[in-house]
Amino acid sequence: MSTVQPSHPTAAAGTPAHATPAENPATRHTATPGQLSWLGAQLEEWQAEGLLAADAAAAIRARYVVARRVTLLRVVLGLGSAFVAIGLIWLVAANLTRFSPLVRFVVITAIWVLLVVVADLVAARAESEHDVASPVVGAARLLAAAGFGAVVYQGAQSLQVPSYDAALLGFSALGALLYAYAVRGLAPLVLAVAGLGVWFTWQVTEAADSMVAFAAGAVTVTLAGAAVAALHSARWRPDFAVPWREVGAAVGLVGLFVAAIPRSPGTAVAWGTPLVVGVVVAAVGAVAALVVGSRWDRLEVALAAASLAVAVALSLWMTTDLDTATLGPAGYARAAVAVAAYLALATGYAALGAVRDSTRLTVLATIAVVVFVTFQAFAVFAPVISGSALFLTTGVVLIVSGFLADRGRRRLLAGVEDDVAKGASS
Amino acid sequence: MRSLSRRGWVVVVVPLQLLVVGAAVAAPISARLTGQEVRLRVATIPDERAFRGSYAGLTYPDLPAQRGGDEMAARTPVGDTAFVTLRRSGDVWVSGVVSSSRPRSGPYLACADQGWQIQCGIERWYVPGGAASPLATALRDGTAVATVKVDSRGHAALVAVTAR
Repeated sequence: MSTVQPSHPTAAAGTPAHATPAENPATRHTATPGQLSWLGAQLEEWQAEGLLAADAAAAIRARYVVARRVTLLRVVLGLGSAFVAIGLIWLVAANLTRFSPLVRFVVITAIWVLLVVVADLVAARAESEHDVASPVVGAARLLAAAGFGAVVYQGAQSLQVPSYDAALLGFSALGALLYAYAVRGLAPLVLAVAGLGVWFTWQVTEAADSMVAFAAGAVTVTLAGAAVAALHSARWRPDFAVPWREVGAAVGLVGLFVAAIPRSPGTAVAWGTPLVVGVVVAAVGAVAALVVGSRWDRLEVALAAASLAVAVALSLWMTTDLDTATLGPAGYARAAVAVAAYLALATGYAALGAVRDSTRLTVLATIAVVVFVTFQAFAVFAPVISGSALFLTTGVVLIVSGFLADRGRRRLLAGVEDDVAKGASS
Repeated sequence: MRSLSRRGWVVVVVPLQLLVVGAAVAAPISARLTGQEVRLRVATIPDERAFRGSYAGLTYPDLPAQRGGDEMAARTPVGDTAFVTLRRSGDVWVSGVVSSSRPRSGPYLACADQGWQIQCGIERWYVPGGAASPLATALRDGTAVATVKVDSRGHAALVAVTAR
C-alpha cells in the first residue's frame, strides 16, 4: 500500500493544470515558514510582472509543506519519546525481577516489535495524507530504534552478559542504523550515529587503556562521519548527511580537547587493534568521499583528516614540563601550538556550520572554543600569562579570522554571480 | 533503489536486527549449544544484597575471586581477559592456573578482569521464589552446585543451580 510512485518531471511540466503535484507525495517538499513567506512574496512579484500565471503560481506553492525546525509539538514529542525510552530500559533493568530471564526477553522483544508496527502505521497514515513533515512519525521511529536497544540489553542480561560491555552499545547502534536506513528516518539515524560514535570511542579506549587512544578514537569518528556525510550529500539523500556531520564533529571536538591536555613522557601510548581498524575504515571512506564529493565535501573531509592528524600529533607530543608553576619553553610551546590548532579547527567547524546551513554546528563549535579556552586559561596558562591576556589574544585571533572568512564569503558570492552570468550568456 | 517499499524494507530489516541481537549474545549461546558440562560449588555472595527480587548474586568458592600476588603485579590493564583453567576434584571442578594468555587445552574459563574481581558471566541466577526458597537456603549454606557449560573458547553459561 505504500508504493512510491515514480515522479515524471517532464510529464508534469507538459500538463501543469490537472496533474496537481499536491496529490503526488513524491513532489511534496518541506520548507520553513521563512522560506515559504519568501516564496509567497516572490510568486506574487512574478505574477505581477506577468512572468507566471495564477494557476502555475498556486501549483508551485502547493508543492511545499510548512515544517518548523523546532516546533513546540516536536519538542514535546521528542521529550516524551526520550522519557518513554529511558523508562522502558529502566523497567527492564530494575523492575522486572519477578519474571524469568526468558519471559523478560520475550516481553521486551514484543514491546519492540509493537513499536516498529506502530511507527509503520503512523508513517503510512502520514504518507496517505501527504504529511511529509509529520513530527509524530519521527518520534514513533525514534521509539522503535530505542526499543531495539532495550532488546539487545535484555538479551544480554537474560544470558548473564555484563551490561557495561561496550559491544552491547555497538550492537544496539548497528540495529538502530539498519532500521534508520530501512525507513529512511532521520530521528533513528541521529540515535544510531550518536550510539556508534560513543561505542567506537569507548571500545578503542577500553582496548588500549590510554588517553591517546581516546583522543585518536574520538577524532576517527569525526573522519568517518565527515566521509559518510560527504558521500550522502554528493550521491544519495543529502539530508542524511546532517547527523553524520554534526555528531562526528561533536565527538571530535571532545577528542581534540583531550588531546590538547599536556601529558608527561611515559604515559601509555597504546593504539590497540580496534583503533587501527577504525582508522583504516575511516580513511577508505574519506578517499571515496574525496573522489565523488564536491569541492565543499572535499574541504569537509580535509578538515576532519586535519583534526585527526592534530589529535595524534598532540597526543604523541609529550613534555616533562607538567608543573604549570615552572612551565619551561617546551611546555609553553606545546600549549601554544595546542591552543592555536584547537582554535583553527573549531573555527573550521563553525565555518562548516555556516556553509552547510547548520546553526547547530556553528553554536557547538563556538561553545567548544569557549570551554576550551577557559579550561586552558585556568589549567595551563594561569602561571604564564593572565587569563585576561589569553582571552584578549583569542578574541583578536577570532576577529581576524572572522574578517578573513568574510573576505572569503564575498569572493565566493562574486564567484557564484560569475557562474550565473556565464550560464546566462552561454 | 526503489524496488522495495518502505514497509518491505522494514520486513527485511527486522530479521536482520534479530541477527544483530544474536551476535550480541553469541558467546553465551555458543557455550550453551557447544559447551562441555562442568559442575562447580556455588554460594550466594556474603552480603545482604545477595538477592534482588528473584535474582541471586553468586560466588564460586573454588574459583579465584581476583588475581593475587605476582599475577596482580604483572597485571595488564583493566578490561583484560583472565583465563582460569579448570581441573576435576571429586565430583566437582576447581580452578587450576590463572593467566593472561590463553591456555593450550581446556576446559578453561575466559573471564573479564575488572581489577577488584574476575567475572566469568555466571555470577547471577534466577531463583524462583527468591530468598525464601529451599534453593536459596542451599545457596546460603554452601551446599549448592552449579552446572556450567564451557565452550572451547572459554565462554561460560550457567544452565542450572541445584541443591546437593
